[in-house]
Amino acid sequence: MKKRLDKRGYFFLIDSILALGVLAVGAFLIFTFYVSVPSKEEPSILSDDLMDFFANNKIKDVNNEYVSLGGTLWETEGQPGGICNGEELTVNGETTLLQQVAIFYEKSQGDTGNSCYFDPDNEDLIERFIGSLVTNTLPLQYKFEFVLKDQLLGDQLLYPIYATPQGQKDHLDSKNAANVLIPSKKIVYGILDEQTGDMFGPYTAEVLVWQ
Amino acid sequence: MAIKQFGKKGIFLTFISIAIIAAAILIFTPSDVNLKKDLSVVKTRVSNVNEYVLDLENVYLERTLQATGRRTIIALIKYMEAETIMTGTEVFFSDGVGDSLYFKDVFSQVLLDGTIGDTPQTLSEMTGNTYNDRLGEITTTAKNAFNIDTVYGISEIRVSQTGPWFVEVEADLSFNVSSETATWNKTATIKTEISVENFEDPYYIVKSLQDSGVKYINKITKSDTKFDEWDVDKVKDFITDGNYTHFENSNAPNFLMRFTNDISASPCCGIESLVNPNNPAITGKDVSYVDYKYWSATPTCPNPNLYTVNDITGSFPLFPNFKLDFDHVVLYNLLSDASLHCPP
Repeated sequence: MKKRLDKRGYFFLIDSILALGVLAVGAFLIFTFYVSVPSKEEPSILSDDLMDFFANNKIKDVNNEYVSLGGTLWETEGQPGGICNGEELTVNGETTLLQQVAIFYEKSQGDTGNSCYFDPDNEDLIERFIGSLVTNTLPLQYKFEFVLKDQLLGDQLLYPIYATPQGQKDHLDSKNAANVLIPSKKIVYGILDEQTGDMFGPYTAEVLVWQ
Repeated sequence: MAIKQFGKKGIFLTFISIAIIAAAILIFTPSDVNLKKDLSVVKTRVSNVNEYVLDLENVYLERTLQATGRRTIIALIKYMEAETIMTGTEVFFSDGVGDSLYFKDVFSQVLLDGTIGDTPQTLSEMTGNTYNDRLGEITTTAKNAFNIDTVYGISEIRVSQTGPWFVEVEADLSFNVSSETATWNKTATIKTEISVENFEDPYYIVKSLQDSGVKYINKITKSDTKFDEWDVDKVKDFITDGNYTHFENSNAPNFLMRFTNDISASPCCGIESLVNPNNPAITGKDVSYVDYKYWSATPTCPNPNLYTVNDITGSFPLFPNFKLDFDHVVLYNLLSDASLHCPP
């Protein structure tokens, strides 16, 4: 009688181990599910990095053929053949990259504004400026947008898939479908004309990065 | 009987194993997932607001003070000009504490409110451009961008001449920034330096309008000539260009003193120019053509030690009736070319 009972004990033990296995597999599946949640850190870090790059670097500190002091932007874009032919393109090395974007935007506004600086429907100077600085900086699986005062800056050059209507749709679809979309925001503000005390902004600048 | 006993034990052991596994899951996993669930989002929000607070203190408030300070000076110069034309008498601000147009009070009032005088008169140059207006814009933008509230309290604005070519403006203020996740309270003194270059000299404008009815505009531009490099040619260029220079321990007034008709010496910060006799606002006088002496000295000969200078004094394209006092003949290194004019 006692021997039979011991055998049953083994049986129960094996039964509990099997139950343990079932539960362990269940737990593993649950953990796997949590692991597959998209990381919020990476897009957040990328958008912060991109925004910090624009906000904390001055034009005099950038080594870029197009944007640096004496770069082709300042030498040729205001000349015949340049995108802002006839405009006087002056540069202050102490201006940050983000402030320069805002200055270009400001110069496109108002009755005397010139759309060569910013044009939502065509290529413009802001687009070239940002494009020359960010090309190939983001990993391929990430997409980004640069927004100033609720206006998307750049289209075909910055976001090449915009070149076709389908590409534009894909870009927007991927943004709408993104599980994580954390913008990095900054207020950009500064002096437009040192002599008169005219100011530009304050504008809200946003960088959005998503996977 | 035996079967019944067997079933009870099985259920018991199964429950124990399930309880152990459940306890292990509860201890090791769920709390970790829940705590970190929205951490990055909260972190980003707090980080954004913290950066805003730092930018506010180190960039926005300072740059805004600089821009509005510059506009304030422009507005004050325009006010002096307009009042001089309207009243027919020279209008300067007062350097006496408590006076209705005490310069430092007027500067603060214009910078903060865009008005001047006990019966507030709005200055058009400041419309939408006062310090309060600009801080209001930042507040609105921050509210829209980060959903945060910013409240400022400005207790004092000070303006002073810290060097020949710079005016310092200071603002004592406190601000409170509050968001749904955190609150910042800060008190700060914001300082900014404004270059005096490119401002129209208010002393020239008011004095010329009063003296001849013709406005003499002279923008302040710093001369490149050092104190030991002066000669006849450089003085001629200096007059033609309307430039300004600073001599150590000079007897000239500084830029801010020119708003109050105070032509006493400012040893640290005095700047001076030479009045151009070819300007329509200038009539030939027997006085020194150093700017702060030209309109203040009695134009009668014999003023002591008044000199003409060879190759400078003469008909156009030289400078008719141009004269200098002895001190400036020496300062501009013109002693060998100077001839005593008064007394004859």
